[in-house]
Amino acid sequence: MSIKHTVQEWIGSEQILLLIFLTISTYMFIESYTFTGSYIFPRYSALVMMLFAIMMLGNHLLPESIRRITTSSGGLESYATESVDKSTEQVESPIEDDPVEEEQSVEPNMKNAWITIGLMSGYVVFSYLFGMMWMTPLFVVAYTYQFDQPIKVIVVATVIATMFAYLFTTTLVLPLDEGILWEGPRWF
Amino acid sequence: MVLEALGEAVALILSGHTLYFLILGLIIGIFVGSLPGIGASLGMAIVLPLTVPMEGVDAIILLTGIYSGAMYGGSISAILFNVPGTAGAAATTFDGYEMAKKGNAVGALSTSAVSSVFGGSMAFLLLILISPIIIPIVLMFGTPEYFLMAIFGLATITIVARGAMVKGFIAGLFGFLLSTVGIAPLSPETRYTFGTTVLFDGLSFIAGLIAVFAVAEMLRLTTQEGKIKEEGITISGNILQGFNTVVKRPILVAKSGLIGMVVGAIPGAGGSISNFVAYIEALRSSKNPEAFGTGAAEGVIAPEASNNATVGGALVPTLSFGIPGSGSTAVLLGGLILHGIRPGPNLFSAELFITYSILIALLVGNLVILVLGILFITRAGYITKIDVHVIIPIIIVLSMLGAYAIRSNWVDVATVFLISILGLYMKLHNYSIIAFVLGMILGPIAEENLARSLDISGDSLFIFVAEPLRILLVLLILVTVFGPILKPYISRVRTRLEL
Amino acid sequence: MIWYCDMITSDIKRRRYIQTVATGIAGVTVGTAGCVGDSGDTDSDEYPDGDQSIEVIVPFGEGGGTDTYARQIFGAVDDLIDNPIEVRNVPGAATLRGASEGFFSDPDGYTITAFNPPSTPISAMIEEPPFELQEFEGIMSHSRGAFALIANPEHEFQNVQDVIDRFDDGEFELMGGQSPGGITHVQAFLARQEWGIEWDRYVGYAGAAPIAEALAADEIPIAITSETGTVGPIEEGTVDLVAMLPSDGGVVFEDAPSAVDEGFEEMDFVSQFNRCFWFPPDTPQDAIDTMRGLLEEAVMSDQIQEWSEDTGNHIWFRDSEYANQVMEDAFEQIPSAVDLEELRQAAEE
Repeated sequence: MSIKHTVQEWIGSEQILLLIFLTISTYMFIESYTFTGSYIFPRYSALVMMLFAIMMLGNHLLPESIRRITTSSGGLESYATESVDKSTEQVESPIEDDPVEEEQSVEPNMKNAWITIGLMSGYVVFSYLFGMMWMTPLFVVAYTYQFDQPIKVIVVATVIATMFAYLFTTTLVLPLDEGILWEGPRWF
Repeated sequence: MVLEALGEAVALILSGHTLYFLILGLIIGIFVGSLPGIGASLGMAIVLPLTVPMEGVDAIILLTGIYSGAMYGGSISAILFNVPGTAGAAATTFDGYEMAKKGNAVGALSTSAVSSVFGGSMAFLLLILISPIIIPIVLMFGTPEYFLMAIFGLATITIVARGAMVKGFIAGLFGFLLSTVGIAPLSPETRYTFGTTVLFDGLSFIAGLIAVFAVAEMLRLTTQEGKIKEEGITISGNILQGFNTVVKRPILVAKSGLIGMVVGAIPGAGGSISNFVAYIEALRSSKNPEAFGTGAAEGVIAPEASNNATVGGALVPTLSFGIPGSGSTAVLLGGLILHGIRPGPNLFSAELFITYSILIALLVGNLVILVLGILFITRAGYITKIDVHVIIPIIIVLSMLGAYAIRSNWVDVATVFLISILGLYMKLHNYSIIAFVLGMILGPIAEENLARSLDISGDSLFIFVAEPLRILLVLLILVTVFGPILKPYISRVRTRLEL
Repeated sequence: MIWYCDMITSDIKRRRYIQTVATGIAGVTVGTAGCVGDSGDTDSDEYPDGDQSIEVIVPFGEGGGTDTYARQIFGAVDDLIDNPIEVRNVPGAATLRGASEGFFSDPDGYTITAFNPPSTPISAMIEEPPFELQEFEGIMSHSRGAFALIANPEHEFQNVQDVIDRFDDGEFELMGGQSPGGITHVQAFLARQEWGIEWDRYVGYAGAAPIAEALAADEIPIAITSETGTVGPIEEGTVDLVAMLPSDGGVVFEDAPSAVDEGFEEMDFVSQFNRCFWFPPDTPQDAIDTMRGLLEEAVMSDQIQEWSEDTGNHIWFRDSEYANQVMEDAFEQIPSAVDLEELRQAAEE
């Protein structure tokens, strides 16, 4: 097994997630030393989080006995899953609570997620600049077009979303028709 | 006082517009519940910012209506497509889908509707009846008890983390750390605000809920393309048959409802667990266990009667201690806080009518589910056929609009955006979202009550063992935290002893 | 994270609010339906220009005292002018977030901020936000509110002297109140320093309702809280009113004894608050005068007077000078009466 392969295996998206957690908790830990009072909770929570993140980063290096603790499960859920001898693969995407699914062996299709995140970041930034009401139809058109929807569907989805944006702007009296670069039309 | 509050609650529910919000909530709930991949907590999180201008009670009834409706709605796609609309309906697939395959989809759907209604109604009635017993218990709670209760809620991360305790704790601590941004509880000190007043009030935990329950969920849906369009089932069968099968099995309904209620009341449990427990119990006690998994009506009755009853059970810790039992109740708690309704003794004394209004609304709501459920049955197939790529952009738009609507603050929009990306990866790598939400909500409660407890005691920690109730809570916490860690060792010792 | 900061500052500066036609969701805006063109009293050529909407920032959540007053009074102003009026809640940061938005808005007379000296000035002195609160231009004051010393009824406190004696005997050591570093904390400091209630530790709660609960559960023996927030529990008998703090007594409980009547030194500069409306600094004088006139007319209208009588909410009219004076007093008298640094330290402990 080449070194390159080993590194690739180790630095997956979970490791990046853990590094983000580690960075945030380290920052919060250090920053807590500037507080005069009310530092106990954030400081020690950040410290524990740092340690746990480091522990998870080096999880495969840990001895089996400690690793059992990091992966041991709680009572009720194991009762439920252990006792159902029927195939639990049928139990999919439980939304009400957490995903029950185990560590996913097959990496899901992340390309679509990142396309969506990209479109969403444009939506947020341009909404901030020019007003969310105007960017909403553009975002919906961009998304539905990207995912090959028929014209009829694009139109219906865009109309529904735009209607929501309009309702938010008017009934909740939110300045969503303006952004920092554009004051919006005055005909509202 | 109890009867007076009950009367007030009934009057409120029947006063027209509240009933309207209830029915609206149920329709939204059944709708989002029946869409695979979209559950109660998502529907509630999206609607939450819209309730800002509403009266508090109406908002809560709207939200609980969605919760209750989604519990039933989840069974629709479970039966028709073998994909549970919500986790609470996961066990329904075992026999519901089999019934549908045998050409009795309508029978399965009506069995689900009727048992949802009976199970739910029983739980809400029971709660109203036992509420006078809950009241004195809640009134015993002061600052130190609230601190311990919040810690107990955080300790349930060991239960909700499901197979990855350290990951669960990381998620919980992350949620808590995000909540420390802004002015510290009970102190004028600001933390992590970068000197700007806009962050003085911290990051909105409602934005956090929208991020993890709505947007991150949509992102996750984009990664699982094609799963929803499973082969459909021809809708045929008999509506009345469902009614008859349920009515003939009152004990099964009552038992499943009770299981749902009790499991729901355990913080960190909720519908996703209760439906399995009820199913297993039905299987265990059945005279005809081999029929299970091949389309036995009991296999639909048990999970469906239990998951609607779970709603009632989950309300107990949420309303009395502010500890959410599940994702949906976390959003409900957000609604309570957003509308200035503080969970706690108040909801069982001066504001008892609010508690009763919620329970009665749910009770009435169950009857509405019966009507809507039967109306929906023939049309149910259409809803579940809506393409995810239409749902996803609309949910994202609603989430962003809602995020801004919370406090007219762009920080909340940025929060939703950033946390949703982290939330996606947390979901993918099994970092418990519920643990994250628990940390975000309970952390500040724990911190505030600890600070106040120490003010009261003059910095002595003995305040937490000064009374029997507090000692009991401390023991409960210890068992919850160390139970799962010690379990393998205990069972090993036990097997050795048996040898 | 830098991105956050930029977004925030520009959001504050970007304070021109668009005219939005409010559709009738209860409580979001004051109704604009009653906009008949009765602008005879105002100079319609200049200010207020009938097309431009007036925004009222309330730095508290919906349904609180300040919010209710603002909606009632601007509901009456709405009958006097053509301009659409929006009341917007910007709660948080001990009222400083809303005050900050109001402060950085354009000084053109179309953004009004509601806040109440000395409460917000105390928050400003403790938190030291990046603007000078004193520079706000007072428009008028429309009502006052009082603070009260309340107790668990089981202890049967007779009066303030009884409280002092029993604290001296060591029977009690805790004083309750709203969040540390806020106005009731200042009052508790002064009650110890000037009156001699020798409490040992101050226990803060998030509002009047939790204070009343804590008293009823005997978590704390006495507490200082706002009078309006405690009317319910006092009437139900779950808490006892020991004394009102201001020399004029209460607003709701007009006949309740005042600590000053008992011979204790008055501390009216902190023991009562004035609900006022403000313009951002450098607002033209004529805009202030016009708006003050409109508000006076609104406050004196039958509609508001009847509302006041029906609900028991206090209402009065005090002019711009009064508002500016109470602000100035707060900034002058509080730092000389209380050691703010000591207070801050006590609060942050």
